[in-house]
Amino acid sequence: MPPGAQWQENAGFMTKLLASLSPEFVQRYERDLYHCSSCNYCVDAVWPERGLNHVCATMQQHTRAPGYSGRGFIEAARAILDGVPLDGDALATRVFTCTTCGNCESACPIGLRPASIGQALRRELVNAGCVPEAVGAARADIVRDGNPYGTPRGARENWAEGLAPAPGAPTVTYFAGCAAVADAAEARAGHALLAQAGAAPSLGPAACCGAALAELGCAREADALAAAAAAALRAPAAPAVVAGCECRRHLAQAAGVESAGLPGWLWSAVQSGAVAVKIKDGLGRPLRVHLLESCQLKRTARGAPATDEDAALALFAALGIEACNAGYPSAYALCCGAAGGMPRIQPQAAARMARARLPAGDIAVTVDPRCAAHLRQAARGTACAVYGFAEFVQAHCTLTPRRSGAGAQPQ
Amino acid sequence: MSGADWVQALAGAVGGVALFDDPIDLLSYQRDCSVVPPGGAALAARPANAEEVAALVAAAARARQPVYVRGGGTMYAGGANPHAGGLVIDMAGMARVLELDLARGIVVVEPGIRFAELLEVLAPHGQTVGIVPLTGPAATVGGAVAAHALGTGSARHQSMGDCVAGLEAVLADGTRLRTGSAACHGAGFFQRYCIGPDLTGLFLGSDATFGVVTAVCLWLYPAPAARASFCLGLPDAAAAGRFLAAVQGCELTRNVWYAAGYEGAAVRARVTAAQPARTVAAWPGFCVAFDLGGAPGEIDADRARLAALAGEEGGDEFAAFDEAYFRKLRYDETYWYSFAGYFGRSRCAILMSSLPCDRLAVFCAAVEEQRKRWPAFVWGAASVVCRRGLHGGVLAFYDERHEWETMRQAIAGAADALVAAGCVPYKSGKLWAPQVRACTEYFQVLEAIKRGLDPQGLLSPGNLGLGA
Ligand code: SF4
Ligand code: SF4
Repeated sequence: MPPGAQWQENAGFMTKLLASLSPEFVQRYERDLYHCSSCNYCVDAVWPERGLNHVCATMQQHTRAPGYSGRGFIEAARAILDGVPLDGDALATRVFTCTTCGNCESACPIGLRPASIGQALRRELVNAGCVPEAVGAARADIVRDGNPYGTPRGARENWAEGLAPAPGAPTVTYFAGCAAVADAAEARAGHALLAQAGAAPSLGPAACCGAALAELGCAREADALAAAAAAALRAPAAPAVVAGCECRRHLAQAAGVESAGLPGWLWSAVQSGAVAVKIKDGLGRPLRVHLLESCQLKRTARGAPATDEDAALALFAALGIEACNAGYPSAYALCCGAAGGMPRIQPQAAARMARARLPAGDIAVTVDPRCAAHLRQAARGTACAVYGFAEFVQAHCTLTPRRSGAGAQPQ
Repeated sequence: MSGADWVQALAGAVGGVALFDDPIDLLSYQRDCSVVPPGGAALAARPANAEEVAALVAAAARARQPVYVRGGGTMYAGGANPHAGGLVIDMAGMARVLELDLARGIVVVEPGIRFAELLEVLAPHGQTVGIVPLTGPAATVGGAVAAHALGTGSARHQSMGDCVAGLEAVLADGTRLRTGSAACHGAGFFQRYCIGPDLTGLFLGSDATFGVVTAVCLWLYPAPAARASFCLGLPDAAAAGRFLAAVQGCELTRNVWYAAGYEGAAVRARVTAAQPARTVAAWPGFCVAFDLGGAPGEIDADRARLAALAGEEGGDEFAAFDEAYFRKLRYDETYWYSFAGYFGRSRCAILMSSLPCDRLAVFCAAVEEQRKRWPAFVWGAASVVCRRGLHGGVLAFYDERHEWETMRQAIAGAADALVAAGCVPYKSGKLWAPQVRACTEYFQVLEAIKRGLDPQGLLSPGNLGLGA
């Protein structure tokens, strides 16, 4: 390539990207880009008061190159607006190597939104047709199969095989999402938990809600899938929705469907007296678990009165189960790498993130089924037993409904 | 050597050091938090130890390329901005505690360690360090040493350099120098002033112009058993200046972990923003806020003595400011980052200067002048109380997309006005370069030292006005 050709190519790409940049991107984020003080909190701060220790899973487990950080996304987005010629492929590689955990956003002392800007850049790059190969492949798989795990569409709902339909009218719609493909045991445990608590669960639509595509920046396709799922979930007389992981956030944001997570649903039922929970007889006490918070659910609940982690903690406390990291927020640890498409885009880094997240031994419980599946893989051959919330409750507790229709009202 | 050639030659020479040359990654190495224009390096490196730093500096010297050093990047004088291009050494990969010796009362750290991380290591031992910048979650010890940081501890110790027992630096030719007692092979760090002149001081506030600091020895202090904040209102800045001089004169700062002075306008703005319904019968013209730490009985006694001294200048306790702002600034994590409130509205240009207490009123008047001269910007004056004298911060708020150029002119004018008012450049970086050069004899000696230590002028050219 003659000297300057790379620059010209970059300039050409940037001109195209700038021209196709959505007005919302500029409107929504321009203030952030020019207010960023380059303070680096979002890259590598140690901030015990906020439970932050080095902030970014990608920076800790994949590369130290700052273009991969929240601040890097802000710098790149500002450079785009300033007309600096950047290499599109290099930009896409960075923007798509992020767990979308949002820790950088929590770290910013002035409330700027580096993670959201990274996700918005994903959408702009998808619109401009500039995505890494692995992202293109993941997108194609999700569109074809309705899940990112390579399981054929026809087998997507195999996890529910043999589940007995609820007697009488359903009181809860259980939408296990594609996490059930990765972790059928947790999905089945969730269904069983609802039934044992006295709810009559029906299954949600057997289709992708688009959450996994939204993470990859494929906004239009993701929104269309959410709208279709919402139509089914909102059918006349449809009961309240209990869902897991990223689906809850996407369904709420893209289609206005409110839902509860399993821990929140169960704790609310326990508090209302509709369900009694106790530790199974014969299990040694005290039980001691590491409750691994999910960055996805935490972000969903930001500003909300309680998170599913709070609900799980409260339930464990009521049962005398010691959450041994409760006083030392597990937010202090970094994302396990299950989110943001990382297991598909950067599988090795995602596995390192998961290993770094696991406690040395004992029992780890996560309220996010997708994290549970990802962490369990990483825990193979270690002394750590990883449970999804529902599996843990199934294995260690007995549920007794106290009233008919118990737990029908999610929190 | 062309750009690509030297980068390749350097990469070959330094083996396994993490190097970044993609323009997207280099965007993050353009600037610090300051209003100073960004620079553009061709390469950034993240060494893991002092040997790698020495190899990088020597390789850059062979290629005749400038070398800039970056800590947390939280400073506001442009010292980390690579104006002459070349190489940026990012010290974030050197963040270990090398030695913690409670008997000697020292901790030796690599320069990239964040203050908050260091405090976590020291807390179980009931120890702390002398100065902790308010940007402690991201600010590094090396950056604080290179740029004369202040913050928590300034009232007890003055500034960062006063808490350094010695250091190690890599010189421009790759030599590793240890200062203080550690200069004597085998003795280790424990004492700063020994052998002869204080070479440690050469590197304090030198903005990486004389060498690259690769280890810092800090003295340890017992963490305070109890803390309490309180505020005093005084009639005006002149009275506050006299009061603070009296406080310093009788060493009443020994239990003061942080203290700051605020103009009346800032006091009114902060109290009414937090408590809109509040009306204070007699708003003070100036407020001095204290964060005291020590044995509970001691801090109660000091508080009474401080209030009595303020009374002699017509001052009194002013709890409204403590409730509305200062206590949050000191204890509430959301206010931990001191300028968060300001930055939340717009970018903030900060210009720090040193001044004696008797110049406080003149300093405030100089800021008032800037307010009149540049009415489009919001200006503020804040002063950090030191063991002796004050550091005065001029804060000016602006929209970086549309007003950056104008703000740079305004800040340059403010710098001249402050020097004319008897204030002295502090945290010089590139922001104060013209004023540093105007300190003629001082600057000539700086240049002579620079020629001796860095004859090619490759270390941080532009900082302190050297090699600009
Ligand atoms: S969202 Fe998480 S992984 Fe992505 S840049 Fe921010 S902190 Fe890093
Ligand atoms: S986004 Fe926030 S935390 Fe990150 S560099 Fe900018 S101001 Fe600092």
